Amino acid sequence: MALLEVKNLKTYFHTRAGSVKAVDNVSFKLGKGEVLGLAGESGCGKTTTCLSIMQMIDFPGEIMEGQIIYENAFEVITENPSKSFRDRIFNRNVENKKRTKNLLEFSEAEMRSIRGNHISMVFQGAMNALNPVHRVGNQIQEVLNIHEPELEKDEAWDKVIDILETVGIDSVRARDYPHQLSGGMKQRALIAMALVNNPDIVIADEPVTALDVIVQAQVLKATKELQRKFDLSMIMITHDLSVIAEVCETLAIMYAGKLVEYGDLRTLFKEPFHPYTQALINAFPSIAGPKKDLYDIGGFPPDLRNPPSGCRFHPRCSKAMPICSKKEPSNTPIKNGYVACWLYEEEEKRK
Amino acid sequence: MGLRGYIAKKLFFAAVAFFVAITIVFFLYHVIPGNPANIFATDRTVNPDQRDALLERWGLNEPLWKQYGIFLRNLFQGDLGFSYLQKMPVTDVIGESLPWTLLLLGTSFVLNAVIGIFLGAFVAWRRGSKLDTGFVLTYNFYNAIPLFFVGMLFIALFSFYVRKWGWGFYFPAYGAQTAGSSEWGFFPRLVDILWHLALPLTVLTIAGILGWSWFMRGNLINILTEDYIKTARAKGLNENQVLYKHAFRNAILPVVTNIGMSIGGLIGGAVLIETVFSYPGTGRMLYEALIRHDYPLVQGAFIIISGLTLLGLLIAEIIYGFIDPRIRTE
Amino acid sequence: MTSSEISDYSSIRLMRMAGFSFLGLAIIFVVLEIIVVFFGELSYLSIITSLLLSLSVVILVLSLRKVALQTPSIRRNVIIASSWLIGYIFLTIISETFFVFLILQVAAFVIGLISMLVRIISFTQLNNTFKRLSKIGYNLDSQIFLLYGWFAVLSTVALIVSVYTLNLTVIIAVVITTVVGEISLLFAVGYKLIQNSNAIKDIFEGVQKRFLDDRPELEDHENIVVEAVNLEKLFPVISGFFESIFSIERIKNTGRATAKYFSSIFSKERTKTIKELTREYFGKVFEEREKLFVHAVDDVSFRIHKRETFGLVGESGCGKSTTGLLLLYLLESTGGKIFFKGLDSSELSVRELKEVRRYIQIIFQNPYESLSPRFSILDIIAEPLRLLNIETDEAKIEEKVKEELESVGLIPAEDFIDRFPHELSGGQRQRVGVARAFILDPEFIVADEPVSMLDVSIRVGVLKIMRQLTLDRGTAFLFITHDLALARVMCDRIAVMYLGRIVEQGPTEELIQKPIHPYAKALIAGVPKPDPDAKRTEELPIIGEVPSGIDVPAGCRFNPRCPFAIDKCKIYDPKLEEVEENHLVACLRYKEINDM
Ligand SMILES: Nc1ncnc2c1ncn2[C@@H]1O[C@H](COP(=O)(O)OP(=O)(O)OP(=O)(O)O)[C@@H](O)[C@H]1O
Ligand SMILES: Nc1ncnc2c1ncn2[C@@H]1O[C@H](COP(=O)(O)OP(=O)(O)OP(=O)(O)O)[C@@H](O)[C@H]1O
Ligand code: SF4
Ligand code: SF4
Ligand SMILES: [Mg+2]
Ligand SMILES: [Mg+2]
Repeated sequence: MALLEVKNLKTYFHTRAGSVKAVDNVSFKLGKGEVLGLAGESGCGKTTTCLSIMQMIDFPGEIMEGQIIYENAFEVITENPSKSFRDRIFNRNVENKKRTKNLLEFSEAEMRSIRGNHISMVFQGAMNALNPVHRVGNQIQEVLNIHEPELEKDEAWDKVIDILETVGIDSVRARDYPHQLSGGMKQRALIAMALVNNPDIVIADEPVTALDVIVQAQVLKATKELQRKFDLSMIMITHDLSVIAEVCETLAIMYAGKLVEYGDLRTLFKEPFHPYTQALINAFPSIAGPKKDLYDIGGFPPDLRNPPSGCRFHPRCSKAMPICSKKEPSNTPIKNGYVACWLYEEEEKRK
Repeated sequence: MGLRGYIAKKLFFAAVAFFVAITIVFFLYHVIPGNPANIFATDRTVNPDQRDALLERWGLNEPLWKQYGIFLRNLFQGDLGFSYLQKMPVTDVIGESLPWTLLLLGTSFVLNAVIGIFLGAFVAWRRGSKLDTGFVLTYNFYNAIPLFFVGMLFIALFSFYVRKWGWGFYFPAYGAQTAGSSEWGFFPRLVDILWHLALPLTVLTIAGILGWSWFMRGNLINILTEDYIKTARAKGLNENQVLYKHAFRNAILPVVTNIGMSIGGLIGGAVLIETVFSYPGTGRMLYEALIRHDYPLVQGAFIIISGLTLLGLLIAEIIYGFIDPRIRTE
Repeated sequence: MTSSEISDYSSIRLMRMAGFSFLGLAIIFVVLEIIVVFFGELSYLSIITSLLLSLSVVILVLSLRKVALQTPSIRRNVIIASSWLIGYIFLTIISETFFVFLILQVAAFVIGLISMLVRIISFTQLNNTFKRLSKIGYNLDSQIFLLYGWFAVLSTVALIVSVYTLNLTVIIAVVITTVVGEISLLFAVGYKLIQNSNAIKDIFEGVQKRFLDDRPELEDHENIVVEAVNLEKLFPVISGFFESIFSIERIKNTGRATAKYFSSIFSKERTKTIKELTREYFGKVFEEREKLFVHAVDDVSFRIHKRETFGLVGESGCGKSTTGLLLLYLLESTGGKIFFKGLDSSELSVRELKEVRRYIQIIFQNPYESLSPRFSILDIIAEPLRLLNIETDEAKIEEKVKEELESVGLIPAEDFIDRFPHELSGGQRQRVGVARAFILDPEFIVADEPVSMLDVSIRVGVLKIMRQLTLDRGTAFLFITHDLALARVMCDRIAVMYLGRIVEQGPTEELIQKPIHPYAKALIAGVPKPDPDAKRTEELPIIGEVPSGIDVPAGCRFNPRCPFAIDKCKIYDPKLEEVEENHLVACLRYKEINDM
């Protein structure tokens, strides 16, 4: 049973020069305790996908259609009625009527009770993601204050200390301000903030990209341990395949707003199906083993306002066939996942 | 260094700055033409005994550095000298006018700060709306007009024309209270003072509010695009909480730094406004003393003004230390 | 003093002159105010002040010419500010002249107001200039300028207006209120400038002495594109305005040293001569000053040959970018020399430097900050062409820009040239930066993390273009990165930096397969591998993070984190030693650690 299921999600940005189809028909599942790596080139819609799940798409973006089914959603409505007076008035009848697991049908107030509580997110660019004028501990405690107002102050603080120690920050640092922490510690503090209220799902957007290797290794190790300890479900966004190789179990590859391949990490790394995934893995330089030469994917990233017809990868694909530019491939099941490529569709469909 | 050390440091610096300021004031008014000793010697209205006593007490026949020592000693004892024009100690003269200035400045400052900051936050929150555009236009328009001109306009409108047009209500154009009002009861007197305060205060405050809120608006608009605002939203905070807990405090920091600057402006404004409205404050007293060469009074007033300015700066720095941890923990 | 030293000093002297002229201005201002107050003489007051003010600013700008005017964005800013300033003076003079004639007074009033507006603009521009300057290492407080500009404007407006009331009391009231503020702000500006020039001078002097002692002989001019010799960059860390007047820490230490100095001079059982003691004393006082600097780059030497890509790797903050900026003359080094094709950069005239800069380009680390938000992509890429007057025909410029855009994968180019940076993704911005660097066909490029914001698919394209340039035209690269896997693919030689020093340097494969320095070992072990089965080394021997560059650990800089550190490491600072051919290491214990 999947904990989170994204079905046919479409998120567009309506710009002056036309709609940017940043996320176009993306579907995937995330099971309990699963770590999903979301990889793809810059601008392919990774961050937008996750912001859509959180429903934090700002103007001029809009979620056009799709479903985001969150298994524990019922629990949310009954257990956590909206808090402010105004919200309560506005949501009274909504609550009675709507009992859906689809987050996209939730009101803004209901989404607020999900954010930070059930699904939390660590943003790209940790260096500025903490408010400079509040103590780190207090910023973490804030999550508890919002979502568990009945908790005593001392208890909440104890929890904060607990979680900080779990991510490997000494408890005395809880009273420090962000500028007193180093980059790696800030990143850990952000992870602690995401974890403090025992969320079901943590979305981490490029959590270690800004850090250097030594600190990166430390943070990733801590993350992996925590994930195992709390049996967390995680979505890890990165364009660094080696980071994914280190922590993830499932791999989803995005290309131009579409999910082109999705499946078990080990299988995909050994034997990638989609030509783009193959190219991506080949293009990655490695420090181990003999020196490989640079492998060029060739071509250029597509313009998301007017994406190529058919398979979006066809202008760059070395195995492109005539049909590729005409018709969009559908998802062909593979082991634990699927791939969207004409190479693997059945013969008769191809005609 | 903790907060206490930070405050101690600031106090120390403020004291040093104050010392430098009074030194400059002292020497400045002893090198300009028409120095105090001459004036005492030639002024016939001062009676000879009193003159000698004054020359003695202030060592006015001594060399300058000695006078400086005496000046410091007397200052320490709370003696700022003797105003030969008003025929009473400078402390008394200032003591009479200072409360009025403080009333004017203090009220204006508090109103500026509170209303300015919240107005700024509000228009920033609604940026791009008609309200915001209106605010920007008003700010630019009002800023282009000199302060005392506004003052004169206000007098003409609310004190002169209002009466000419036969409206029942007007504001007084000069003074801080009605003559003889000291015998009235507490409330009538309070109303009288507020009535006199209304026009100068309004003129001074409008400019201040616009300045403050303009500054605040700019800051907040910048802050709202920061990453930590996104983080705050992802925690599940609602918009109000995001605004007041996370954005507001950061946006207010530069505003606090600007307090020192605004105090200087406020005092300048007060001199102008007090002159235009004939308000019996220290500012008006200062320029009267100047044109009539009453040096002890000028000197005293400058000392008070620099003291006030430094005090304001000090308070601003301390507040800054409270709200910005980066400053005090470095 | 040789001519090159003079050119170093002249900027300092000019900056100090600007500072003093601001102080002088403050004093003249007092005098003028007094004249106004006591003699009611007002004509031409504004003319004099504005002229003096502009003079001070001009001197200031001149003092910055060596660095500031070499940076296009700053130069543009300075030009804008100066033209506004000229406009301001012009308007003021007209207004003051008109003022004498009764009929023209209204016009004079209006022009006076306009000139005030212009003054605000010019000071805002100055403020912008100073903000940019502080980005490239100048420690100037731009806010003071802005503050001064506004204050002066407000007070002068009040003054002019009050003059028209023909009411002496009002005039005096205005003058009094402005005089205190104006003087103190002028004073602050002047003080700040002098203080800065002092700080810079100290650094210069200290380093110049050291440099003159050991300048190695050059060899093989032809092949070496860039050579850095004992390069050093200290960033002064000056906190606030008050604090910089005297830091309590500094006073305390100086006081302690002074007390000790005198007590030992007068003590009976003195062992050292007074001369020795004095030298010691000044050494100590100087040492306290040293602490106020960030040692961003400290004694770094290397050579980059034609067709070579030299990699600089290390943790964040170790001084990689600073080294790059130094090589480009975007930062003035505080020590050491840089030779470009055998030419000593400090001996070049401004014009020659400009000529040289044509052949040196940079690709910046952060595409979000390095592209000016108000320029279109066309303007950004064409900027070097236009600035250096290489191409004047707009159609040809556009042609060339399009070509360059396509070569970095921004296709179709027509679609991009009119866009602004904020309309591009991070990766796209970075490619614009690459295109800008390539458009002049440079001989040497500093690539500061050129692809860290790009994903692999585009990354490879950009890297291949860079390599192609190396092969076709012999372009040399300084390739700055923290990604060793990337360095392995791109570089011929690699230098590993730690806290401003090179700790190991050698041919790429040799260094990566067989690192010798403990830090290099850890760095290479820490690199993640794109293979789920090959896990990273489980236990990383290195703990903690890089200490700050202000309190550099004594002895070997790596000793607080080094698993092999012994007592000796806390005392002796290891020098780079050649352990194999072309392979240099700075570690006291490399033999024991590596069984050599
Ligand atoms: N506010 C916006 N207005 C217009 N277009 C936008 C906006 N935000 C994002 N986009 C576009 O949506 C697409 C997807 O952006 P997104 O931030 O999700 O990419 P990403 O995969 O996270 O890339 P990166 O790895 O660079 O962070 C991009 O092409 C981008 O240009
Ligand atoms: N303008 C400046 N003023 C003061 N200190 C500075 C300045 N610029 C850089 N530094 C300091 O110099 C040191 C080296 O900085 P530099 O930018 O060269 O590091 P880097 O190796 O490029 O790091 P990164 O990988 O993060 O880019 C740092 O400690 C930094 O704080
Ligand atoms: S569908 Fe065709 S073009 Fe697309 S990836 Fe598969 S083979 Fe390549
Ligand atoms: S010198 Fe000592 S501390 Fe430095 S790297 Fe070598 S063993 Fe470690
Ligand atoms: Mg992203
Ligand atoms: Mg750098």
